[in-house]
Amino acid sequence: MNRDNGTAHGAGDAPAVEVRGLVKAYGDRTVVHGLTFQVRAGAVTGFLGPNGAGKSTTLRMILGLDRPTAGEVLVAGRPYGRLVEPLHHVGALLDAGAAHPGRTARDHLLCIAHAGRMPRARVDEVLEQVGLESAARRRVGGFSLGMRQRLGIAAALLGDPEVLILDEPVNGLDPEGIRWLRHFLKGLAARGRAVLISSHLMTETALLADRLVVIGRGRLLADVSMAEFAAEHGRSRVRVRADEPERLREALVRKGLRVVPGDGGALEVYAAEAADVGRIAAHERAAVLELVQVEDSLEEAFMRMTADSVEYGGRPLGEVV
Amino acid sequence: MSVNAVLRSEWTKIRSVRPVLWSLPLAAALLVGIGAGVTGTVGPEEADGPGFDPVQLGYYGILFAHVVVIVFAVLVVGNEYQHGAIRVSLAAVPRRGLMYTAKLAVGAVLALVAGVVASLGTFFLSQRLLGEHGMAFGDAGTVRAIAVGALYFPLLAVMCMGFTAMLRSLMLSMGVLVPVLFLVSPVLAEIPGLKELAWYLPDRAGQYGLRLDPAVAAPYSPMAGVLVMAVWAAAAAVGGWLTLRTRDA
Repeated sequence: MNRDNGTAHGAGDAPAVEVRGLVKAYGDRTVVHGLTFQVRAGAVTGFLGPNGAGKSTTLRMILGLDRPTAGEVLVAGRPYGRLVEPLHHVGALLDAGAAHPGRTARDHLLCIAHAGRMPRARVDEVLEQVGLESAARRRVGGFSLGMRQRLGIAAALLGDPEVLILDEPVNGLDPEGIRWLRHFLKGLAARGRAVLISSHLMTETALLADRLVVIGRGRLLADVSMAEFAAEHGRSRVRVRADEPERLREALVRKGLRVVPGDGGALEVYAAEAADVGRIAAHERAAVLELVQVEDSLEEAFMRMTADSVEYGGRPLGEVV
Repeated sequence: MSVNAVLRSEWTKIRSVRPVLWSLPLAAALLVGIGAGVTGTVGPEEADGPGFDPVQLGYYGILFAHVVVIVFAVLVVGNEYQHGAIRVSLAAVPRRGLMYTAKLAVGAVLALVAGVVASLGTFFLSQRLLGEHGMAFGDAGTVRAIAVGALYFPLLAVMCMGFTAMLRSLMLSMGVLVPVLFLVSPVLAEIPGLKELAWYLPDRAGQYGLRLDPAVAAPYSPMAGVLVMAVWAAAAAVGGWLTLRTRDA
């Protein structure tokens, strides 16, 4: 790795962030269990998991704020603490409330800019980029949550970093702000930057991310492209309503399909195509009143995936087989 | 990472929050102002009374000024522990020792400047107001008292910055340091059994050198009192560093 000598934007095809076997334990409570994944340049990676999955802890370890119990994180090939100009490699927003309420937006950014030897003009540039130029001389205490998020994003952008890490950036943003963020992050990724955004909501992540890293209880559950995830987990089912549901149900079950009673006397047929269900119904001479193909939403797929991890982690000792 | 850049960043953090910026000028004003108020109202009969110490009387305001110095120091470090600001700071300056040293250095230098101004101002104004009962610059013990007065601010500030880094909380540090130095120390000094021990409290030790004539016998010399205070400051600074170095941010 002699390519990297502390200069920015020299990542080539090496991963922008490499997480290797990361473990974090507080006493006997382990919150991150051997996490391994990579954040690649040129893509927005969604870092997804329910609250308490270990997302923020992992992000803090990437930034060298928390010390891993085991494993390591490399940014541009080296631990964060050994980066010569860290702000040019990684820009991070961990907590929108981290700015002192008594400081002006501009002074808050200046404190960071000075540490990274960046000129004052850079502060005005990022304020303009996030749309806060008119609030530059106002105290942060009077900012809305959305404005604080924008200020936090401005701080992350100061060093024009190769990697942008945003913890729950959508929190507090209005729909206009979310649209702005989406275009903004996609634009950064298109220019070859790596973007990592954490979230506990699938729907908002699906709008922003190209790739997904899903964790539950500190374990990696999926590391796939958004499209792969949708194809793999957006399970489809068929809702059918017939005048003699019991007879139809028996026929479907005989064909090896999983059938669950739905609302209003309907049957939910899992992993099936509407055409097949229709044919079976015709064969049974059942009058079909409703026949719909239902695609599972990604949110449901995500909930199901993480619910499993919660189930495994939370099963009482007595029930372990 | 450059040392100058980090020093500049730490100065910007102090400059950009009003209560932090104004606390040291306020502390200096209290020291000079209260000293002037007290010495300006002293009549000849009090000046002739037993145990009258014109220099110590001039520095009477230290009991109030030092509370404001504590507030300054606790804010400088404690603001980092509000709402996770320390994470922003350490992401910008991952070398924790550099950030910590720069912060303490900037805080200490500012406190020293305030201390020098306040101590000189206090001495000259209060002794002038005492008129014939006042001392002149150069009289035995006066230069030492001025020096101790100037060093008192930065030593107290370093100690409180270190303690706050150990406690990692603004409110907790304020809640411990202000009452301890404002109330516990003076009370302790009045309890017979603990009187000897109280001499080794940082504020008592530091203030001992503000007397012209150390008639009240401390177990050390006036300048050694400053050393006692310096030991406190150094211990707290090291403790704060060990905490910052080992704990997750």
